[in-house]
Amino acid sequence: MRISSSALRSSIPKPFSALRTSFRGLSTEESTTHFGFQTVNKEDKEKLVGGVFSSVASNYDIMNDAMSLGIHRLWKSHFINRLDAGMRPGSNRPLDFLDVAGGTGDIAFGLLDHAEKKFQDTKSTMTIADINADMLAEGEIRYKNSKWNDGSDRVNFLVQNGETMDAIPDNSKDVYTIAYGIRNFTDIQAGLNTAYRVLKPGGIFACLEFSQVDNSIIDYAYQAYSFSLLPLMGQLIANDRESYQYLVESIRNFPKQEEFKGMIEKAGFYVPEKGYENLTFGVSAIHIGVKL
Amino acid sequence: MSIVSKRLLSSAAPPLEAAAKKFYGDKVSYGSLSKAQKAFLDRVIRVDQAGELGANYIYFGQYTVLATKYPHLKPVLQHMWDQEIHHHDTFNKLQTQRRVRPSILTPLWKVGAFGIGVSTALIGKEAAMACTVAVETVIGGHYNQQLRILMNQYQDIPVYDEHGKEIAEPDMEIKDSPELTSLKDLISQFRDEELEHLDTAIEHDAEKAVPYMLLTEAIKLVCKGAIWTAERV
Amino acid sequence: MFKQVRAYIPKARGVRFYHSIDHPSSNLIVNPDSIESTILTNSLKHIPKYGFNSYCVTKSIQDLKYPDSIHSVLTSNADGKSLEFQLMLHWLRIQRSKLHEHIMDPASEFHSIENEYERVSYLIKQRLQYNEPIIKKLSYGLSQLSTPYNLSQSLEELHNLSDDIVYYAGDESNDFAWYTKRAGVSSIYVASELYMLSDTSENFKNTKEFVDNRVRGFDGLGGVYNNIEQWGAFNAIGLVNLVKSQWMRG
Repeated sequence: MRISSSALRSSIPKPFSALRTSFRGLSTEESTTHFGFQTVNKEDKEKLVGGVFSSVASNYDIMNDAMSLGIHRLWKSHFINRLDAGMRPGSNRPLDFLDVAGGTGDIAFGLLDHAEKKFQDTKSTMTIADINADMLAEGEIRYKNSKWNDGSDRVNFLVQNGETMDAIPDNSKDVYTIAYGIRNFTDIQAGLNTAYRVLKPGGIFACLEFSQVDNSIIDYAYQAYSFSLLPLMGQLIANDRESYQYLVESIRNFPKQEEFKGMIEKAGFYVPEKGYENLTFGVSAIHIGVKL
Repeated sequence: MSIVSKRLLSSAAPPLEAAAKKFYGDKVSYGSLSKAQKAFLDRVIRVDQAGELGANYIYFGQYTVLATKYPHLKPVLQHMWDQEIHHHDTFNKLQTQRRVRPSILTPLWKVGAFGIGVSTALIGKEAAMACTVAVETVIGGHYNQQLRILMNQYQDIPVYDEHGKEIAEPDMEIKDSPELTSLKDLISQFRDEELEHLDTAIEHDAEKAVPYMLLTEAIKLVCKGAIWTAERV
Repeated sequence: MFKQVRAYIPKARGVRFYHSIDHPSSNLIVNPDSIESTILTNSLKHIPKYGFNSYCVTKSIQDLKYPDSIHSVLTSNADGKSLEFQLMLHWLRIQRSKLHEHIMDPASEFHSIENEYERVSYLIKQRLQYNEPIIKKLSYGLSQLSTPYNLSQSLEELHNLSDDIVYYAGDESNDFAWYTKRAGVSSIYVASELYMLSDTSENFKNTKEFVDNRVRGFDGLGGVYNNIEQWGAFNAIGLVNLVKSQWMRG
């Protein structure tokens, strides 16, 4: 059952076939990392993740809706509401937002929408960065058809690696958001350190990501659902079981809430008390850090 | 000035810590306890206060029944009961000074402990001694567990010298605040006295009680349940 | 061979507990170093003008010359507290620490009062006095406290206040009376505060009388629990003696 853009997909090599050939040349333990439940060379992970996202880019939203039964929209709007970011009335300096790994732009446009509706903020700028040009291309298509494309240059798109972000200068952003992207970084701590670098003092780091469920009964049900149903849905809807298998496995490997909070503190952020909010029993979690 | 106000305002530590403070002087100060560490100390004082209350009333019950019937046991029981009263008073004072919430089921513990004391004493003097064995065994293990945690989980509190600078590797003697040291000393002293009661009870024919296993195991279970409840409620 | 010691430290819920003597920084009501409390403390001075509104927080951030993004530290609060509720809670905590400072001042007239219940009365009146500058805005703040999702946290703060008041008054109870005294003070305080909202007398004279009356009534209750215990023990002893004497006869 193929959906549109199949031409785009078939020209990109499937990530796991690349994996089978690279196993022969595996080097020492330190230069390997995890790719879902596989162990791969660090240099290869970026390419493999790129492959996954290129192949899911066009159906990304449909797959998100199918996988989380639409709840991901609730999570994202809760994230935007809790962040409550925007230039307040009576203030004279607009904010600079940076949305990382937000290729398709839903969080980015949601943030701008929220700022406009709640605070009448029409001046804050938004930079959407993504390592994957295909995902970014989807975002640009959406932007062209949206109201934000009003010639004011508020929104721009950059292809950037979240771990280095060479094009973004130090101390230049007020709000750094990353939704469901940080688990794909090869070196999460480097990503956090870069976030610290690009934020201005007083800037907020906000991360929405899948996390560990604390209740063991619900966790059992959730694992059963993820590992059996999701790749199957990937197969049926997008004819791409392996990418969705990777997505599910990468969720499992992501650090727990407290551990990730520790990593955020290690990058230099001040984490307010508790530091994370569990959504739906911990299936997703919002982590906050402040650069002081 | 009212006596209560004097107590509130005085910078001298209450008598329990005065001796320790004299040794350390005012040259060091300590960082804060984490929320979890405070929660544990709160729990320790509450459950130990309830435990000593229970022990106090158990001996009260046993004494009431046995003292007249068995005059030779009177001094033994009296001595053990007096020590328990002292333990209970110490924890009462500690509960007030540290502003810890006492267990809300205190009336229940009073009635229950008195009931256990009286009923085992009515069964027989050996049964009363067996009850003592059971209770003291559980309390001994319980105090040991508390000591283990107090020794292991309170290692990371920073120590500051008189200028406010953190001392990198403090001596064994000043590493723990007088508050924690005196609590640990108190608990180990009380544990030793409880184990002494255990030995006394065995000397006085505890093992001759007829349903020995049943009695001791049942009472141990009840004690463990009471400890679990008093920690939380 | 050696049993693993499980990390048995209990999960710390929000309840006030354990006042440390050698670790005084553990007893702080408001942590003065954190950025959240800096912002909130500064917003308190805008309350007389704007009430318990999130605009106070915005103004405070602008006063302190922090960027607007810092709002997110407060709005993204992990417990889900709204800005207005956080403002109200912070105000309550600051008043409680003000009360503590008042007590710690040796020159205060509080220290010449001997009777425990009169001390309670004095403390409640003193705390209510801190409401006077914002009395017109207070009803909105109090309504924040009683919404169902905020209720548990506001009750915790109320219990902390009555624990403080009863402790400063000199309570030394070790049993059920500990609970009855604090419950009593909590209810008197809530009733007095609500009374104060609609009190138009000179210098809130009527509220002060109200507090005194309530505490006097409560004084009588104080001995009730101990009396019940004594009565129960007396009757139990009497019953045992009765049974013994009947048994002897039969």
